[in-house]
Amino acid sequence: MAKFEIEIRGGLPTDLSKKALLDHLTKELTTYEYTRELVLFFRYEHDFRFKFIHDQGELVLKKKLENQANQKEWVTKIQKEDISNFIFQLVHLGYTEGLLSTGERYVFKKDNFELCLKYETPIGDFFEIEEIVDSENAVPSTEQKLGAFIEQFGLKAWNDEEYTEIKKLSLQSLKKVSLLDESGNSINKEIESFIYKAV
Amino acid sequence: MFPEGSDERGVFWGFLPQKRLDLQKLFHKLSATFGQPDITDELVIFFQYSGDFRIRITNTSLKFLLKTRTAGQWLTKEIVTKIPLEEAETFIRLISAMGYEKGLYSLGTKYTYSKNQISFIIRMNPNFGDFFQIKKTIEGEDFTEDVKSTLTNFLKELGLGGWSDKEYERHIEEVWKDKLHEPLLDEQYNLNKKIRDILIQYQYSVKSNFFSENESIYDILKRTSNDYTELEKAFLNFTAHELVSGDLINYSNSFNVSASIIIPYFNNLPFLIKCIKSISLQNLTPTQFKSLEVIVVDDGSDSRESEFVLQHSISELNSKGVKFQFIRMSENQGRAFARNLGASAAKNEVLIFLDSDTLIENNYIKETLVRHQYLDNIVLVGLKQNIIFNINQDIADLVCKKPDFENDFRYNHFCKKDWDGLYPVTDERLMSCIEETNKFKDFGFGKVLGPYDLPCMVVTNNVSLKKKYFDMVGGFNNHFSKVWGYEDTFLGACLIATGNFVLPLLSTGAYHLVTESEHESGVKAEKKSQLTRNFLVYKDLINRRGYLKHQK
Repeated sequence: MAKFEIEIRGGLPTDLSKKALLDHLTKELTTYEYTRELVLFFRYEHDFRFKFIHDQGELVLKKKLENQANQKEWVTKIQKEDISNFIFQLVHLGYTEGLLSTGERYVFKKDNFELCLKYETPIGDFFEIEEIVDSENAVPSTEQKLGAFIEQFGLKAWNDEEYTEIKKLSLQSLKKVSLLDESGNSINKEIESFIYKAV
Repeated sequence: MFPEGSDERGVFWGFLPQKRLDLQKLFHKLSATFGQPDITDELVIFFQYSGDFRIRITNTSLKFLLKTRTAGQWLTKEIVTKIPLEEAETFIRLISAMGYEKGLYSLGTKYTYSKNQISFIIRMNPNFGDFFQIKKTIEGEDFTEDVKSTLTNFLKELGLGGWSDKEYERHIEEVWKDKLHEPLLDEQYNLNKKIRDILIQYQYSVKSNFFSENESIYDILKRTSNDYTELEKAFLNFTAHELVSGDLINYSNSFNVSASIIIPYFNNLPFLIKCIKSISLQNLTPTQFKSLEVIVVDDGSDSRESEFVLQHSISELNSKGVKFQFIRMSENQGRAFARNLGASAAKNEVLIFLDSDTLIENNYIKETLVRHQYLDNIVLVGLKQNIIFNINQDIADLVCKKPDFENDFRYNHFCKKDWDGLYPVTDERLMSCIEETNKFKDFGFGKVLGPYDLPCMVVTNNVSLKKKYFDMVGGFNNHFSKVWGYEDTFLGACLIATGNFVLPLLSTGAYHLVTESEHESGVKAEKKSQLTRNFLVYKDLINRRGYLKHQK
């Protein structure tokens, strides 16, 4: 059965502190999940990524479905203790460099949708709200519902032009890094410390 | 370029003794030293792109390995990423997308004996013969002559000789020479069949059954569940579709398992022609048609010219790439015998049994085989609609329409007190076995509903299962020969008792062609009498102690 993903993004207000926004949202949505996220992007034609999230690794391949706006994702989870080995293997497979992005995520869940606040990312602080529906007919009403929901917290969505521009900037702002350090015997210190540092 | 602290091992390789007796002695000595081995089927896929990469799938996990070997030092280093079996399919797809599309496959059985950091591994039937490996895991770089002599002495005690560096290189070269590299995914982006088979074996065969020498099938059925929830989850994961649902699966869910369709036939040629026609009208791709085989077993029909009359139907099947076998028996032996004969001639993985007076809806094969592709130990029971059929009627339109299951006894049945079933009817009422047992999931543990239990749901008018399980239970029991009834119920009981799940196929089905004459009471009375005789045979077999042990 085809699924339709409705996703709205926008910048986080600069006049509202992280704490104030989290407090405000927590009153309405009760609990949230905090996680740090590291993403290494490889070869844009394949949209192939290595992610570190929820304290474990993920190898992700995103594929646009033909004639559809949504995309299919293949994800394999890699246990934390194997990540260092896997990064070495990636290098042997030819993936010696990647574009690095790190950040913090606060995820709120309500009914069928998920609101995610992303801080300290290469494109600054922003939010994403998304819901997956089974029918194309449900898309407009869901968009409207999600739009109304974020508005009550003073969050404003980017329009298409803004989003395209932000995406372009985000690619430019990402830093290209080697997966291994100069000796070639250890993984990049920045990646290593992000993954293995105590939270 | 290896990370510090990666696995390092002192390793020797060599061929196993060729003589069976010597091999037995070796196993005996190893068991005396190490205890019982860990045994697993193992599929290794070797890649030679950049570095010696391998995927190794066993009963516990998929391991992605990068290996190097230092010649002359008997030292290998490994970097391993362990992927749980439930993530294995996705991982293989990702590796393929990364450009590692083809590899050299080696499927074999691995025996691992381990004690005190020493492992002795035997690999039987891989690509280059049966061989052993002995290794000692060591810390850091301290591979010493001591380790080497420990391993060499141990091999000497076992009467084995390890390969020299040169021999090792030569064997590796031989392995790769002229070998076909197989893709990880087929043309339809399905997993390679070898990968799929081992994943199914280790991940999705969630039910296994063990029986003792003295247990009867009846005893085993009483303690056996038919809750196939885990299979539903696995199927949903693979196809994004419900396993037991009235809806058809999207056409994109293709299959690549092969099937043999077995049709016993006795004196009803016009119906048989229609039955075969319904196979050639299936909604399948040319490649899928080529994976089918139709086996007609003429159970001693009066007319000897059936094969010639069938010529047109055979040509029609052949033109689509379907293979055809015609087996003629000199005298009538009954359906059970004919079906067994057909199954023994079958070359394909899945058996589909059809009666010759049956038409299958045009999605029947696709819907059936997609399920067998992803699930191993299932008996897929098709439902049917009885229709009074005029033999001159064209079936092209009929097979495009889903049969109405309202008059299938598993869907709806009014059970009267005088009904001659397996169990006496105490509560006269309309019942639906499918609905009242949550689509058979709650029909395990010997549960009885009206005159029926779970084995009664297995009717070979249209049913499918893996050939290996049919063979495991010895097929249909020939005590039911020539006489109508209960031979399929008994097959169902044996299959359930050996670990198969019985599932209804609700998205498609069959038409059972009935002539006006079959409504005459004489025919019905004859069938009833046969049923009573076979009831006694069934009761005897089901209560016979050790029946399945004997079959195995």
